[in-house]
This record gives sequence, C-alpha cells and structure tokens, in this order.
Amino acid sequence: MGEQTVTTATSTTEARTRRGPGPFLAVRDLSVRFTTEDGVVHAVDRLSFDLEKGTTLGIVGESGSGKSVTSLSILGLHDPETTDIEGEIWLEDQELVSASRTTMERLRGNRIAMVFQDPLTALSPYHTVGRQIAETYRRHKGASKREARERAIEMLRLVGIPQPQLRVDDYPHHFSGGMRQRVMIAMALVCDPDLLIADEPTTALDVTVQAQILDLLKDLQQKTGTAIILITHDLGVVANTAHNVLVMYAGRAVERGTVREVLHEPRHPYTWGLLGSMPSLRSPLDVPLRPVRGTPPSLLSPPSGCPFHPRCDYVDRVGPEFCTGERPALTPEHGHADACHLPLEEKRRIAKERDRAERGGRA
Amino acid sequence: MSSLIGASVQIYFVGTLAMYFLVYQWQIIDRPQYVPITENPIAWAYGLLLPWIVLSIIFTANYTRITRSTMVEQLAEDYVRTATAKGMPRRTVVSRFALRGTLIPVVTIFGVDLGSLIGGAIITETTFGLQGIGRLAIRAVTDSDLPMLMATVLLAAAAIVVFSIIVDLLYAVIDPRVRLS
Repeated sequence: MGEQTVTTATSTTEARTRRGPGPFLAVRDLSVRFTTEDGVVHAVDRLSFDLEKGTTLGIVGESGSGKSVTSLSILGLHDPETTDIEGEIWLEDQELVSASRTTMERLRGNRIAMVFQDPLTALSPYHTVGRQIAETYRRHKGASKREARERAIEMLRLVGIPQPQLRVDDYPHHFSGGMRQRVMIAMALVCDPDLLIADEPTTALDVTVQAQILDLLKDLQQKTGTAIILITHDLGVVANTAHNVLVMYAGRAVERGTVREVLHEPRHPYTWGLLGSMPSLRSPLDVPLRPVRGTPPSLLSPPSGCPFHPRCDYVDRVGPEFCTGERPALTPEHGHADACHLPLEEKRRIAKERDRAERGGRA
Repeated sequence: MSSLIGASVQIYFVGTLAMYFLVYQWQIIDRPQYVPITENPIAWAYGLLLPWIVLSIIFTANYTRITRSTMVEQLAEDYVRTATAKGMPRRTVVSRFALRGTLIPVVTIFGVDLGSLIGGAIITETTFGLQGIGRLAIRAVTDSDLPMLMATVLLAAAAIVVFSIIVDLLYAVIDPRVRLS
C-alpha cells in the first residue's frame, strides 16, 4: 500500500491493437471535453475503471461530477462535433471510443443498453410501448413482427406489468411513472444485453416504487448475468444494490472499492463528506446534517492539484502546496483505492474520529 | 437560406418574375388562363400550372422553416435520444421519431393556409389575371355589392372552419395523447 502510481497509461499503446483476457468492461484514461461558448468543459478527466460480468458498479457523486457523461460516452451518444473524447473503452475485445457509427448502432440496445433517468420523457409518446420494445428486438435479432410482439409481451410480464397482453398496445401516457420505468427496463433488456447502464433510474420515482425497481434490477441480474452500471447520487441505493462503488468528483475518480470498503472504511475526504451529509435512522433528531461545505467546482477551469482541495477540511494536514500543486493519483492500482495526498494511516485515524464523533453526537 | 428568401418575397414579385421569364422571354409555358375543368381537365391544369408553382414556392419556404426549427427542438428530446440508445439507425431516428413531433405545427399551419386559399388567393389571382374568388371579393368591396361580399366572406369563413376541424381531427391521428379514450 505505498505511493505507487497508476500505470494504466503505459498500456494504452498496445491495448488499441490487441487485448488479452481482461475485465468485461474496461474504461482506460477516459477524458471527455465539451466545447461551449464559455470555453472548454472538462467533464471527465482521465477516468479508469473495470466492470466484471454479473456485478454492479455504483457510480456516485454530486450533479456535474461526470457520472452521466461517462455513461453516455460508453454508448457513444455524445455529439461528435462539440465533444472531444480521449482514452479507451473496451467491451471485451471491442474498443468503443474509436468504433464506427454502424458498429455502435449494432451494439446499442443489443449488447449495451441504457435506462434513462426520467421515464416520463424518455419514451416516445407517439408509439405504443409494445412497438417500442418490439422494434429494438426486431432490429437486433431480425425477428418477425409477431415474434417481436410475443417477446415484448414476455418482457412486460418479466418486469411485472399486469395483463401484459393488453398493456402492450397502450401508449406511454397510459402508464404511471413507475410503470413507465418498468417499460424502459423491459426495452433495455429485450435483447439480453451484456451491459446495462442505469442512469439514476429511480430519481424521478417515489420511494416505494424506487425499491421495487431496484429489486427488479437485482432479480434480472441474477437471471441474466448482466453487468450493471448504476449511476446515482443516493448512497442508500448503492448500499442496497451495488457490489463495487466508484466515487466521482469533478470528473475524476476519487475513491474506488467494494461497497463494504467504501461505505464502512471510507478514505477520501469527499466520501466522508458524502456519508456525513446523509441522515441516519439511528441518529437523534436534533443533530444537524453536515453538508460538504462549498459548491462543486466549475469544470470550465477545474482547481489545480486535487480538485477537492477548496472544500477539503484536511488540506493543512498535508501541506497546502501539495494539495493545490499536485494531482493525487488513484492508488493503489487494485482493490480499495483513493486519490488523496493524506497518508493512509492518517486517513484511517480521521475516519475513525469522524465515526466516533457522529456516534458521540447520538449518545 | 433559400427558404429565408422564399419566405420574405411576395407573390407579386415571384409571380411577375416567373411570368416575365417563363412566359414572355423563354416562352416555356403559355400565359395562364382559366379553362373550366368540366371542359378540358388537362387544359385546366395547364392553365393553372404557373400560379400553382409560384404559390407553392412561397408556402414551401414557410413550411421548410417551421419544420427545421421544430426538428431542431425534437432532436434534443429525451425519447429521440432513447431511440438512438437502443440502436436505431440515424435515418430511422429522424424519420420515425423526430419527424413525428414536427407534424403538429406543420399540419396546424397547413389547415389555416388551405382554408384561406379556398377563400381566394387575391394577390395571385391579380398577378396572373385570373378571375377567382379573391378578385370577386375585391370587386364586391369596390362596387358595394353587399350580397356578393357576404357570399365570399361566408365561403372564406366556412373554409377556414372546415379545415380547422379537419386539422383538429388529424391531431388525434398524429398524437395518441390527444385521443379520447
């Protein structure tokens, strides 16, 4: 557990031509920049992560931390005219950033599918839900109209919509928000994708429906072995559904690990902040929540060094010139990792202190 | 760009230009004249060909602009992105999903346009020297021919009402959310 630097950069040149057995999905040094009228937005900055089949990766972070941008780049949904994407995204042995449009069109909906945040606007109001599900199946599997319709009914049944053979001819506005999200999920899963990206799938829904949708995703994962990227800002959702967590801040990964590691032994000051700002069932009512002070940085000109330093309470423990001058790498390369200049021992100590302070507040 | 020119110029400008070049200079087409359709349908269509072309140039420009601006909005819609995300080819995304939303404003304007055209295309008729409902109405105004004026106004109003109803019914065909259950 030393100050070992991430060595993914060295593998970039050989990786583009050939790749041995590696993780199912590998994102390597992904950078996404948008050119806007105000300047260049560094939405994602040298992000790397892996995802194995049958597991769920939760990506958490504030609004504007690059979560959605990352997922949209995996699907290649950015407008190439205003977006500059660097790095590599490997889905088994297919590289996605440099893939042609037709290749991406074959992959989308077929091997990689996406569930969007707002089910109220993400379905076409002009077509029946059955048709919207069936056309995906027909396009990728070359099925006949009748087969596709049967498949659509089957999918609607799978996601728990009652009387699917009747509802298949309904339009999205006949469904409630939770039901529409089920339809979205049915549509995403119709071709048995290997990778499902769920971009805040429960944000627009109320809490009971949220739990149902998450259970549904978990169930389906067990049945189909799909890898899931779950984007959310709700740590409760992550604790329930994900296996691994990636905490993002200002377009960078600041902490990575299993759910246990990140939620029980958080190492990065930002993760502490996130956890500290969550209400707990066991805490007394009169203890105020501790928000992360300050506001997320503008990605037009991200702070130098560690992007979190203007909001970090522990800058003086390392020496400010360190935090403002040098960008901390995500270390170590494997396992529970974080990007912070604080020494590991110090981080463990502070984490314990904070934990005790919170418990103390409750006593 | 060309649609901007088309939308800005007036019929008497395009019409006069078309008459001057196509009819008198190059003599590609005969001078427009009205032959009743019952007499000779081909001569009827031929006689009205030039006014039709000129009218469509003006109106097409308008529709192009509306379609374009609505299409830009539609392409940014979430469900259009969903269509792309499920692997639909670009062509399908535009024609099946984005175009559907642009139909509503286009049909709305089309209904109003068609209605007012039935009520008489005054300037076009004058430019091409045709005896239509539009000129009939003008003459009724200048001659203080009240019964004739009432008839033409009534016809124009009825046309607009009828086409508005047709447009309203078309809404339900285009957008299922408008349909009554």
